[in-house]
Amino acid sequence: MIKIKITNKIHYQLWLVILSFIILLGIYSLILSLVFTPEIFEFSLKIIWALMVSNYIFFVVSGTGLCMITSLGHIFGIKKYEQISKFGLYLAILTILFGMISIGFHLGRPDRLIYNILTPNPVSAIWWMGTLYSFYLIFLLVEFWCLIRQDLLKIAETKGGFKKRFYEMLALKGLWHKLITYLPSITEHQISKIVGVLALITGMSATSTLGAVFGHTESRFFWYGGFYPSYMLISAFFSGLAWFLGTIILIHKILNIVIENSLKCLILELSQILTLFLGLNMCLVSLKLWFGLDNIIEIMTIEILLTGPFKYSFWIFEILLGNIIPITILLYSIRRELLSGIMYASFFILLGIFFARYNFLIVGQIYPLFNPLGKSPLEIIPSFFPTIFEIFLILGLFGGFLFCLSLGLKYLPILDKYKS
Amino acid sequence: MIIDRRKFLKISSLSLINFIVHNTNVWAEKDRYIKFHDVTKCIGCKRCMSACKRWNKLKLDRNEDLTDRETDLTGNTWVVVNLIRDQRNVENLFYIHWACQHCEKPACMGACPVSAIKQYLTGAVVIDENKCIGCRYCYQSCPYKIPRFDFEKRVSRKCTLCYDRIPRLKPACVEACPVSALDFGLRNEILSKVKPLLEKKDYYLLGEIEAGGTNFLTLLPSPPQNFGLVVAPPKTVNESFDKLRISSYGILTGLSFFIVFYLYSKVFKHDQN
Ligand code: SF4
Ligand code: SF4
Ligand code: SF4
Repeated sequence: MIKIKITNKIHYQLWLVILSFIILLGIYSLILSLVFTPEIFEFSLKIIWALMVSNYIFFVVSGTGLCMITSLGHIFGIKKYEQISKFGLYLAILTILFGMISIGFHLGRPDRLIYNILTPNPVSAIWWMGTLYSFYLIFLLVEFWCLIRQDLLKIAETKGGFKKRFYEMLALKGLWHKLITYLPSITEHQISKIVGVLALITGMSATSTLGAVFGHTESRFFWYGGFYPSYMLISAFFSGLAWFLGTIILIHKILNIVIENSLKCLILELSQILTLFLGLNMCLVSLKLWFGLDNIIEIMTIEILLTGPFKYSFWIFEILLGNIIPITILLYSIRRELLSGIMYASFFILLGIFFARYNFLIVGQIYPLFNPLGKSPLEIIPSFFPTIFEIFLILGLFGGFLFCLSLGLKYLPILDKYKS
Repeated sequence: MIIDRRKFLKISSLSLINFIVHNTNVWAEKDRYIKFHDVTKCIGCKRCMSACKRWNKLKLDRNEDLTDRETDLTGNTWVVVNLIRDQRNVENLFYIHWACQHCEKPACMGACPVSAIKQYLTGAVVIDENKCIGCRYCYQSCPYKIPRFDFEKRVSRKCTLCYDRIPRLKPACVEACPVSALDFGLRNEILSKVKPLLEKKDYYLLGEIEAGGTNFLTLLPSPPQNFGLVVAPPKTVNESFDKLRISSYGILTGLSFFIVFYLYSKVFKHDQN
């Protein structure tokens, strides 16, 4: 097994210090919200689901996509996908974890989540979503642990003292042997496969239920219907692809690791699939808007999105940066096998998706509002720009995400297949 | 209105049956209690608003600015009275008392993930503030956008139809009304009083059919759209079958993914490059 060497330690530490400062920014606004009022995160009483929720959707949905991609390897058994299982799963765990932290900041009383178990409401989409995502996270963790356990033991052998004990503890060295005696005929690989199937099923159901959370709200015309339960799954797949392609190429570049031929071929193949899905995404978004034109209230909502205050956010970020430019770059780069082009395209897509989630969430809440004075739609739109503290918190979350990713890359065997 | 012993016993026994069979439909429509607001009688004194604050111990909102026109519901203001112009008949202005409509099939109750919203047999739909996790899904699903988030308590709050006063007393707002623009009583009794008015004039009874029929009725001098009020569709908005139908689109998409993945894996199983 080849362990990745971070060649420039100072750079690595400096990177962690910068990230810590960004995380502190998030912690600062979190403390402010606890000491004073959570109102500093919500910019309006009427638009009650804001940046934290859109960020949650951004993270957890793409996490499911990552789980779907990795499942092609060690669940569906396609050889070439096996090389990305550990990295993909680690990324999937981080995305769902940070998505959950994000929604935790949004909830008024996250400490009462125990009622999700004590007094469940099975007709509520949020109940299903929360329950399924919790199981999904547990399954993902077990699946990932089973995959890296042998590697952890190998690392432990090469270390001494505290580090050795730490890795042995991570691998549950003594305990697992005792447990395995009760399950003699099952190997870790088999367990990871079974748990992987469960993770895939719960993850996909949770994401489609996330769409149903919006689809069930009959009084929000823009959200209501069967479109979002399906669309969330489709967008999960391509956002997961964008996460995977962007980060894997970036990490290889930063760490100066040569991308092996097999991985390169896989990246090129996945980029083709990504391009196809971006095209599909454009069609689906157009269809959604087209079908919305049969309802007077939805027409007003669509007007606000296309020509109102959301026009820049929609046309420039969601459509141009999130779809058209990446498709162009991808088509150009795939033919010339330009991996950096694919990486830039992926990050543009992620930026576009971030804005797309925000647009969909905020625009969907504009109608119906209590409108006693018969004002025009543009007059009653509440403020929709995030507060500075919300932006701090989001930065902190992304900082935390990158921090965990960096730690994982250094201390966990997630990329160990490749030579440095 | 005084509730006599027979009625009280009836309520209690029906509660028991309902508790056992867990079916709210046992509570026949004629036995439901409702709040009624006659817009044509209201003088806009806002005593109902202060009575509600007093009884429910609601705080003054920060920047609380009581205007005649744009007071909005908040976590600490469960009822508002606004002066609204009839847009088709612009010289007519009316005060409208606006609060939770206490739907017969409350969308908010079907949405709450932790079952913090309960429907009492009297018809009152109440949020249990000790259970609410503050997700605001009730607000999103309510057709009238009633439950508001209280940033101090960090939970959603709304009118309780004074379930803690019934059946001994009428709701606080009803009792405070100096001109009897508000009333409280059995649904069928109030309906029989109002129906003749509806036949004679061009009046509209908001809540008679909306959201499956609500337990707060408002008598308006013209259709609610003229006042810019949000009107829920007549059918119920907490339909489990409809939810299942919508979720099934996601299930179908998920299954399609599985099939495509399976076929893809069959073709490329050993493909290394
Ligand atoms: S009006 Fe809204 S909050 Fe009130 S019972 Fe109906 S759905 Fe629930
Ligand atoms: S805000 Fe509270 S009452 Fe409303 S749906 Fe969420 S948990 Fe239930
Ligand atoms: S019924 Fe009770 S809680 Fe509801 S508005 Fe009237 S006083 Fe307030």
